[in-house]
Amino acid sequence: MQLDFRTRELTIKLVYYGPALSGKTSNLQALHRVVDRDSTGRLMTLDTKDDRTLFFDLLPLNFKAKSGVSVRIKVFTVPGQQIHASTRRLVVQGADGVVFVADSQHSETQNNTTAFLDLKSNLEANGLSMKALPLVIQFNKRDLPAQAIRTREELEELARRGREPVYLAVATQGVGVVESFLGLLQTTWQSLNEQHALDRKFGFESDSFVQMVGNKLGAGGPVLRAINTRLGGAPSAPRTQSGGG
Amino acid sequence: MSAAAEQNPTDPFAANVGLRELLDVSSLEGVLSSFYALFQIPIRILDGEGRALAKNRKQPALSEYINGLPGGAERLSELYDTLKQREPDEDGQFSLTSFSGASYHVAAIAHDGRRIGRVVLGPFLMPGAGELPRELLEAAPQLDAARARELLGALPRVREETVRAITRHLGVTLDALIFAGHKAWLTEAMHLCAVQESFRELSDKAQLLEQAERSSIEFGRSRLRMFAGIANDIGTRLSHVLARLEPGLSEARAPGGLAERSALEKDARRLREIAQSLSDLARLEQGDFPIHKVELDPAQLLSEVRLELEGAADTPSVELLLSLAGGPPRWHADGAVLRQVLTLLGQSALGAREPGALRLEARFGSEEPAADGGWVLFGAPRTLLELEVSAPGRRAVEPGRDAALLDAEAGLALALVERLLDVHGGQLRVEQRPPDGAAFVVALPLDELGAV
Repeated sequence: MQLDFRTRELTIKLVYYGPALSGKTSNLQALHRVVDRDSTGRLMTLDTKDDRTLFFDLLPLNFKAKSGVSVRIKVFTVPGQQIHASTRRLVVQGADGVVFVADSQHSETQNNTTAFLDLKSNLEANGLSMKALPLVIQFNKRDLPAQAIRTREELEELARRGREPVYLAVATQGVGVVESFLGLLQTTWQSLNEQHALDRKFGFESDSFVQMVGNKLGAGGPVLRAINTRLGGAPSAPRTQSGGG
Repeated sequence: MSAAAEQNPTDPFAANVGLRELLDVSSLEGVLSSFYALFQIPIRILDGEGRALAKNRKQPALSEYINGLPGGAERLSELYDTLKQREPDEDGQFSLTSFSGASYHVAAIAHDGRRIGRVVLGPFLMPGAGELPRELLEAAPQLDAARARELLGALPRVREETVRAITRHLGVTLDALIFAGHKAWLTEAMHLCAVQESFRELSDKAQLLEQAERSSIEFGRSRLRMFAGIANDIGTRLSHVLARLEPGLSEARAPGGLAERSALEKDARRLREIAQSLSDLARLEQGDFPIHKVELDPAQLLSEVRLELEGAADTPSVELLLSLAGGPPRWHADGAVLRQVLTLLGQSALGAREPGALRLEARFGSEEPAADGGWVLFGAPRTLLELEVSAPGRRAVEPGRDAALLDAEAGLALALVERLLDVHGGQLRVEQRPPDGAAFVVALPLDELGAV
């Protein structure tokens, strides 16, 4: 998080992490499609010829809180390919929250695990702890044939045993994308608020801020309804940040 | 580079870059010249701090004239400060007509949700304007009104809609240029950071290699010490054998001859085992140790090891425990290798020469991944076949940690065990269990073994 007292501007960095071709860029594209035009800039995508992200994608989102403080949310993806390991480490630097986009296909289980280990290692290299960092897991590609993907029941059971909120998504169709984003934003905001007393210092109203972002993303209705589509994940589980951020 | 861009040179995402980083000034002046050719309006681009970045024309003649009059420069300076500093209206623009009667239009340049500069169009004349304002005459009393009226009339006349249309068009053009500039800036910054990161990784690897080299040298020294110990052991035992042979075969029938022969057999057998171990170790290190994986029954394996240990050492008892119910009964493994591993560990656990009780156990274990977040979803635990050799009442020597404590045979055995286990993806751990002794646990991952 960066805080510029002079311009009363708060910048939050959220990162979409996951194995190659799991749908990280599709998530950002879907967010870019639905977000209110006044609240976003262009989606910057640095692609290679085969549609794979070379460096990162960057989606800037800008919101103005009732208190007058500008909140800029920079949403990044990392390149999933193995060869871009050093870029992933750079992009994850200073991240305030992470959405881990997993591929629901059985055949991608090992790649999910490898990417998750990679995330853990890159966070540690940047002085961040996975235990402390706000993290949301998204199982993408739920529209693939049932025999090819892990069942909802299986993921429900895993989510129940795990700690992180799990969202199901079809990013190419925008399904579950806003929910995952808002789920992460809420957890991240809560974590930052605990560390920096944003509510008290800047007159934020956390709930109404997340609700406003939800409205700008076209969530419609109470934002908690979207956030609560998660599987598992302790609601409002407090996390303590350690280092970085 | 702007102050913002200098915030953190190692993190391209932390920096808020300014117009100067994003636009090529000479190319920008080319764009502005093209606008002038089309619309005949002077345009200036100011950066976030209000400094002129590019313009398409020299100071208009009217401004030059006023600037040369007493009091004129001050009023012009005030005007420029207003153009640089006045906060634009909600739509990011504002217009004003100055003390000279000329009009200006200012539009903020925004990128990435932030105002990073402004465009100043003017001076120009609104339709119907052209008379010298009283304010100008008061500001510069020595003004030649006819000259000033002529210069004012020479300014381009533009309608407000046209000014707004030109501003929009310039805004779209600048937006494209700035976006491309930002993309290029980030790409370049990422390349630089990636190079830095590669350098850091290479430095780390170089450090690891240096460390490995130092370890290798130390390992070489340890090995030499171990081989010296082995040579000493072999020499001692050969001395024993020779000493017993010296008195002659005639004495073999004398009382105690049987015990002598037994001692000779024992020493000879030990010498053969040491020689075999040395040979195996050498072949393993050279990479030509043959591995034959066949169907293996762990219960059968432990029984054979038990017989071997009971037969070869002064071991009064070897207890056998099997807890393998519920799992696959057989695996693919090299039985000879694992038998050798367990026998060597058994001998090491006994201290090789000292008699004592021994326990062999086979069971299933599991290797849980670290209990970090997300592991439930992504970290599948591995099932292990654990073969344990334990001897009560004795602290075990740990390979790699207690090299100095190892006698020649134990050191050789453990070095051999570790290399033999490598071929099965297995690991050896030593568990000290005071006061009951210690155990060697061989953990073999089932997916490496492949259940039958």
